[in-house]
Amino acid sequence: MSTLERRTFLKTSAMAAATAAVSQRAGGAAAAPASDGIHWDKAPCRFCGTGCHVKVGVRDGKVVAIAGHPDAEVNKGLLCVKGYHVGGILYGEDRLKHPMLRRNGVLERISWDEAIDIAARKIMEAPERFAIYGSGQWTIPEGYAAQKLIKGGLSNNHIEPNARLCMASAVTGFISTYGVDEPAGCYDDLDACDVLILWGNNMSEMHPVLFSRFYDRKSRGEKITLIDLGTRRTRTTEFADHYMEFRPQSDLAIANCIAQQLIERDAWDKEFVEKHCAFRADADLTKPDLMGVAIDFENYKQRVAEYTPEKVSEISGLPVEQLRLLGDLFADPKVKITSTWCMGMNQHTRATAINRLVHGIHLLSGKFGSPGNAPTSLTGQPSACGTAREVGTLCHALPGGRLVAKPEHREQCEKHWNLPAGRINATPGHHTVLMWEKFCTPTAEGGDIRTILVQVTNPGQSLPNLHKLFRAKKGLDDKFLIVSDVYPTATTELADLVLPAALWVEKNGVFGNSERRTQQWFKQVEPPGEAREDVWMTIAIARRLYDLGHPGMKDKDGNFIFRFTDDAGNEVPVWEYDRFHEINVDRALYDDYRPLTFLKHKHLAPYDVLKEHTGLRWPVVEQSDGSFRETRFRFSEFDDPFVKKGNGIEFYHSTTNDGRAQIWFCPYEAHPEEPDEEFPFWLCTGRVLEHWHTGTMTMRVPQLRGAVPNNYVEIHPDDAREAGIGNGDKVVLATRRGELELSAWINGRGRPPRGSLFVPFFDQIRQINLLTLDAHCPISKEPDYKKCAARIRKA
Amino acid sequence: MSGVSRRDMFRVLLGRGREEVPQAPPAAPVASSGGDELALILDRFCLAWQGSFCSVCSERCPEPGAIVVEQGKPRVDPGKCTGCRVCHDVCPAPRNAVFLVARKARGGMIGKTVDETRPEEPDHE
Amino acid sequence: MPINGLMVTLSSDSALASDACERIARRPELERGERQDRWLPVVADTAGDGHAREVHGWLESLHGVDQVDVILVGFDEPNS
Repeated sequence: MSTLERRTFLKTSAMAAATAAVSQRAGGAAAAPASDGIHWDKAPCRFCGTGCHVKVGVRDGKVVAIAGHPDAEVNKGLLCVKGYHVGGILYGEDRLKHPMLRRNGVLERISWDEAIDIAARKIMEAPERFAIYGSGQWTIPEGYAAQKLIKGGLSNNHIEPNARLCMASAVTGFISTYGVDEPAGCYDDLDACDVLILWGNNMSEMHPVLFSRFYDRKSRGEKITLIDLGTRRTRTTEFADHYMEFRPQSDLAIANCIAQQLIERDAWDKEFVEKHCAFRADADLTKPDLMGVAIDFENYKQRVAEYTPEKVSEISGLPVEQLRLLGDLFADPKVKITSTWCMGMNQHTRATAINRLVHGIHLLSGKFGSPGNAPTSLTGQPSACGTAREVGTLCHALPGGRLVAKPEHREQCEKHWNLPAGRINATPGHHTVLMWEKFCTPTAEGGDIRTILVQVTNPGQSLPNLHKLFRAKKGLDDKFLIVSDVYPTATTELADLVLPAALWVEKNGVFGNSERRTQQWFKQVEPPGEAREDVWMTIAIARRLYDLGHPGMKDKDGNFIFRFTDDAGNEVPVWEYDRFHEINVDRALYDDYRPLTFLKHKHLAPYDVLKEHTGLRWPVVEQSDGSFRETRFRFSEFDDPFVKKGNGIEFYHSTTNDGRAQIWFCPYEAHPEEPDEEFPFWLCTGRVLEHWHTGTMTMRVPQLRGAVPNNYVEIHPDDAREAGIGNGDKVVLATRRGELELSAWINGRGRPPRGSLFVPFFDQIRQINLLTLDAHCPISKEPDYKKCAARIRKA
Repeated sequence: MSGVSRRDMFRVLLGRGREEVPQAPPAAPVASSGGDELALILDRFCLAWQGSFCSVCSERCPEPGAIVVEQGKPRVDPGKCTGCRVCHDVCPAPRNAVFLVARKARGGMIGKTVDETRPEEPDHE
Repeated sequence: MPINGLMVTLSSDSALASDACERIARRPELERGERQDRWLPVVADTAGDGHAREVHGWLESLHGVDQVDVILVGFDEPNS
């Protein structure tokens, strides 16, 4: 396209967008899209779990413009700095374009036929030692295909998403409290609450559009209160009415202190609790499990009694007045409180416990089930909920909230997939940390994972304690790492086989965001070179296994497990890439998956309904007129059609089968690696606004890379002075697992308190996860990236 | 990255560090910091002013206090800005929100410069 | 060479608003879309940063213009 043509085209696009915005503002119908060769379509943003919707402008096969989608309820046209540049992630110069095999230490180009054959043969050598490692960036159909291949085809449960490192603790918190995963509330609570409590949640940095949505109310003069409960000052703290800085790990004591005050003041919501709740605790604190044992109210009361504001002030460092303020707010029946959290509570060695406790104080105070009253976890990935949690791409799960350990759940899936009875293995596979530990352990020493297929994630940078859990793979000749990705990463560095993947709008997809919203998009541009869809790779590998004679690749009737037909009922060999686009495989997989969502009342909308919306929140239930209605507030009679009339609130998947949610008692317990004389600092890791996850996409966008080009360590000025460290000085940061040279940023963006350091994890050159701890929550198996002991010195 | 090493970029990021090249003292005291240009932030392009969040310009500014952030929104202090352009170069907004204006009149320029329109400074130069 | 899609919010005073529309029409680098109520879509095709600054400043200085919002920026021209 000539410069002149492109300018004309850009002008047309600009006018179309401006006209659409004007129509929106003027209350008119959205303007018809410009017809001058330009194509505008929609897609959810590729990055975080907020689930903003964008408009994607394509011409001549290239994404050339991005705008916030004005009709999207989530973001109402607004985007964050990453969102405005999301189109740029497709066009980094070093996109992977061809399959590559490592020969004599060097990655060499091979054909797709060879690549698929090699992958399948490696799996065939030892199917029970094969594992799939994906992420919350898998689309729903991608995760579903991977799930069906390994659990339904290979009778193997070694499948995990990186979401294990991210929201597994939120899942165990929801399940042990309500009997079913995912938040009851939604983002609408942010529009209705009087008080928002952020539990270790830096929302303006991590979920900026969501924070804008809340904070916009304050700008308009509404009287709302923001409480920032955190272990360091962040960008969000500046907007807070109350900043409450607690000692790492003591959030457990703070939550218990709120419960103690509610009972002490006799201010708990007796009617709500008597009708809808029961009490629970771990049977054996040394071996906590998901379900625990029932306790009575007196027992609960006795256990929380010791968490007085005075005592908790000593544990947490919070002044007694701040603890009493929290007590006052929860005790006031008129105040509507929403709590949000993300990695601060989930990446925690007592993560399930703190999740339960925050749900517990909302239940005990009755601050649940009406707009503005909700405990809501946020996700960091675009489909952590939609794929990892709902499709259940975890080593213990099956689609739709089912468990491999439950015979009836296995039976349901076998029936749905038309598999012989007993095909699905009843034993959970290895969770993430164990999977990678086994992969990095020599086979002779019990390392029972031999081949891993990695899709849509970068464990070589995001796993904790990388020396042990990733780099130790090097030199283990019988271990084989297959990596599908879009750019060279820390993971492809050790890959034996690299598969170039299509990214975002180069393929069809469906994501599910933090508020149960399922969002669909269509392929809008071609992937570069020979890059192909992950769904295709999974099916092609399965087909090759079928050809090699693996019996699991056939269903009960002898048909291939991924059998798709056209409108006339003829089978389409979609594993042949030139036939793959003859039908919409995404849709076929989604249609196959959708009925599995009904068991736990997570009814997804039909594909044709989804494609007309910027996402719908499940359960999406068909109305008598044939239309489909989404649900904003689960378990509440006024909105959730599955609550029996007259019940008001009903936890219809209660773990005790009586419609009740569980209020848990969990004690405060010290962290396994508290600072000591040798390692006197707390080290916390996390994200920055400009970069997403391990930076593989955002670091390819010049504006984002330019804004924050590399990581650093944030340090308190007094700590820096004592160590003789000046701003910008090279320092050596060390933990018991390794050391890393970084530059110091005094205060930095986050302003850590004394004795505390912070390092972002996006930087591929200086990988902070070489230093982090692999100790994890005993129930969720999620590691703690937020706390370990460290020391620092000038280099 | 156009030939800039990561180390150099980092130095920019932490520009307040002691590795910076020391600045020669100005020949005579002047009201402004002496650069020929002055950065201004256009709120209509600035992400922080447009309801999103960003603080990159102030973080990367090598001159302490030259870009002040209040309630998340950056503002240039003309008395401290040296016109070094770092804020312009790092601005990640879809449309660069930082532009530089001349402090002193240039040939062919119509109207007054920023310095000339300052409300006070009676003994300016 | 920036091209921007702008949403111009016109004054509620209809005489001032009409005057602003006419003035905008006379600038060759500005292209008007269809006005709806108080809002006017405008595309600015400018020669460079300086020119764009001048045009935006000028738009905001008009008595009949309350606000100028940037709706879309063509981003495939790095650092435009």
